[in-house]
Amino acid sequence: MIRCLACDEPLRDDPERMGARCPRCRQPLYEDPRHAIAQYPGSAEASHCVVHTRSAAVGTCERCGNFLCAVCRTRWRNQVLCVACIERALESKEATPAEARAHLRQSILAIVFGGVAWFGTVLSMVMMIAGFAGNEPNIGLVGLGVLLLLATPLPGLLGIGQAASAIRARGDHMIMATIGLILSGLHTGIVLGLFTFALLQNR
Amino acid sequence: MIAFPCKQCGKRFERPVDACGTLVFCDCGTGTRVPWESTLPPTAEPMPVNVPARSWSPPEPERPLGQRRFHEPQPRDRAYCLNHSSAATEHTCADCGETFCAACVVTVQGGVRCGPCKNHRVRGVQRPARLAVLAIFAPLIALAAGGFWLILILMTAGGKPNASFVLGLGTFGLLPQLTAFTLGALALTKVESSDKTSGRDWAITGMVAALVMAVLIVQLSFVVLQVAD
Repeated sequence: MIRCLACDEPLRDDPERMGARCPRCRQPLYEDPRHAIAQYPGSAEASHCVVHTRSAAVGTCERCGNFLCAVCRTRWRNQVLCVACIERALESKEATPAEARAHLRQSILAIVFGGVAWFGTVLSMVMMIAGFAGNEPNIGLVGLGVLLLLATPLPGLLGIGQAASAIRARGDHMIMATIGLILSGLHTGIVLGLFTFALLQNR
Repeated sequence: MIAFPCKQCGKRFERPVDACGTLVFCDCGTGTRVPWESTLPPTAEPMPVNVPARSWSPPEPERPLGQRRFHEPQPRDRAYCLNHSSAATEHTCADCGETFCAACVVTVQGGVRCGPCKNHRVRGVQRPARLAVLAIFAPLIALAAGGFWLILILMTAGGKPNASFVLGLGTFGLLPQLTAFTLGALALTKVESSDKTSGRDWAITGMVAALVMAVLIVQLSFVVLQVAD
């Protein structure tokens, strides 16, 4: 259980619902209250915040370089930014590092799964051909090849999911995601098509 | 300190001497270069630093519950800023509802908010997304039930299958796939509607797997039906 730093009130409520201030003393819960209050400049030489022109500047925005006060100072992905830059970042919906990593991971996984599906298919074909090659067919090898062929749609399906998700999310690795979708989707489509073709042939 | 006006709207700016030559952007959108010397007369003495309504001291080491020191909150006049007891209220924070002077609030996401509430909101935006549980279940159900049903239908082909039994088995086998597809669609809707939910890849995989498994079940049922005929 957390306690308010200012009044020591035990805080049992959901932090999301409680908000940023202690429900009892109304002091900030997650930051040093002294650092969250705008201070008037101590001397005439002190810099002023661009937004609050009567407040002392405590630093500069790491994107636009404007002076900012304690109220405007905002931490955004390991940078100290002003409110205007925060607004721009929120409006542009710039991808978080986690989202960018997820996009790269999904794109790579799509290619890997598609490649595994195709490799498994080729390997199973080779096993079946080798099984039937001799005078007496090697049933074990052929059976193993059939099992492998039946298992190949699984990585294909996983590849489609990863690739479609990466393409839907948009990002810097769209080409990789598209290659993954083509590999996986083509494999699944061909397997289903061959199965349907075999079904129609046997009628 | 160099004092100069915005060349568009005339708003007063003050910058330190070492900032001369840099650009300053005004609220009106115009950029004004900081001059080498003041072009405006100096202002009167700055307002005295207001002592915050409540002084704050760093937390003391953890004490036993019975010996905790509680700082009783002081009653305050909402006509004055929460942080600056001598400044009249000009704004109300949209999140916490407290009243503040103009120096203590900023406009973020279309609302006037105090510093801590603004920080809390921005922290919330940066919080990592949570994985949708439904998105995990969708591919699991589709693949597990699909595999089970395919093996079950294949096993019936070994004996003398009854056509209606195979048809019923095939139809019944579609129900888990329908469930998996619905779960995947629900998870995808949740992911698309909320930035704080992840699992789009699992949801799409579940939907695609459910569709493919349904097609395979139907096809295999037809094969077994042909054997039954």
